[in-house]
Amino acid sequence: MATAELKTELKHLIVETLRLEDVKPDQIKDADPLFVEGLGLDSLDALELVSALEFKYQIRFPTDDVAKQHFRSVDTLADFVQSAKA
Amino acid sequence: MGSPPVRRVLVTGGTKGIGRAVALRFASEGHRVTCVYKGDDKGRAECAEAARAKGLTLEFEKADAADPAAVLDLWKRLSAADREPDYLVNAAGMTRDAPLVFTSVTDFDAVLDSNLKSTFLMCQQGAKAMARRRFGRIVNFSSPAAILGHEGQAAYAAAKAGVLGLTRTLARELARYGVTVNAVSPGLVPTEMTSALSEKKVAELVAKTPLQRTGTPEEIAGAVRMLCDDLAGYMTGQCLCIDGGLT
Repeated sequence: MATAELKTELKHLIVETLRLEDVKPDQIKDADPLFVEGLGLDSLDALELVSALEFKYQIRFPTDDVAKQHFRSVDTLADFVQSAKA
Repeated sequence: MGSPPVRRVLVTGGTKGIGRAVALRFASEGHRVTCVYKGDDKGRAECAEAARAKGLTLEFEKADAADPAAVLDLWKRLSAADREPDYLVNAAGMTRDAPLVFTSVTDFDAVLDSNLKSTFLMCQQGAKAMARRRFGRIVNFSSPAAILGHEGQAAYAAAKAGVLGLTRTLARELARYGVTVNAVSPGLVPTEMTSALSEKKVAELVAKTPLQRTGTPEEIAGAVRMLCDDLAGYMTGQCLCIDGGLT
C-alpha cells in the first residue's frame, strides 16, 4: 500500500475507532501530535487505537516505551505499520 | 433463555495448583480454556490427564509470562488462533521465602517478576482485545500477605501488594471499555507452592484462621468464576478475600 493511501486509511481509522464527532479525517495533518496537543486525544484512548491497529493490520506493538514514539503522529504511525508489515 | 455464551478463558499458571482448578472449573462449564505454563512439561501432562479424566479439553501454551518478548509471541499465537481471552486469570506466581537479611536481590527480583511483572504484561496485552470487544474480565491473584504482611515474605508481600495497586488502577483505566478488573486473595491452600511450609507453620496459620482449616483450590476457583459472571458486572477494582476469615 502506498504511504499516502495508508495515512488516509489511518486517519479514517482514528476517527472511526475513537468516534470523533467533531473531526473529519482530512482535517488531521500528517505531522499533527495525536495526544494532548494537536488532535488532543485522551491518552487512555490509546488502548482502543492500539487494539484497532493491531487487529486491522495484524501487527503487534512492542511492549517497551518505543511504542509511545509510534503514536506521535499519523506520519510515525504509518512508518511503524509499514515496517511491522514488511 | 438462551444458553450462556462460550467464553475464551486464559489462565496463567494454569497447569498446577489453584490455576489448574480454575482452568478445570471453566472447562467444566463448556468454556474454551487455554492454560499458560512456564516450562513444567510434567505439570502440563498431569493437567491434561486430569482434564481428560473429567471428559474435558484444555489447550496449552508454553510461555514465560514475565518475559516481555515471550508474552508478545504468546499473544501473536493467541490472536492468530482467535483465542484472545474474554476472561484473563493471572494465577502464575511463586515464593522464595526468607527473612529480610537473607533475601537476595536476585530472589527479590525473581519474585517480583513472577508475581507482579507477569500480571502487568498479561494485562497489557489482554486488555487490547477486551477493549475492542467492549467486554472482558480480568482476575489477578493477590495474597493475605499483601494485606497483613507476613514474616519471611518481604518480596512476596510487596509483589502481591503491587498486584492490588495494579488491579485498582486498571479497573479505572479499563472501565470505559466494559472490562472489569478484580483480585482474589486466597488464604492457605495446600498446593505445590505451599508444600515447602512445615507442618508446624501450617498448624500456626490454621490456628489463626477463624474457619480453622486450609482452603481448597476448588473454593478459590469458585470465587474466580463468580468474579467473571455476568452478575458481577458492576464490581471492579476489588479484592475478594477467600481466606477462611484470616484477614
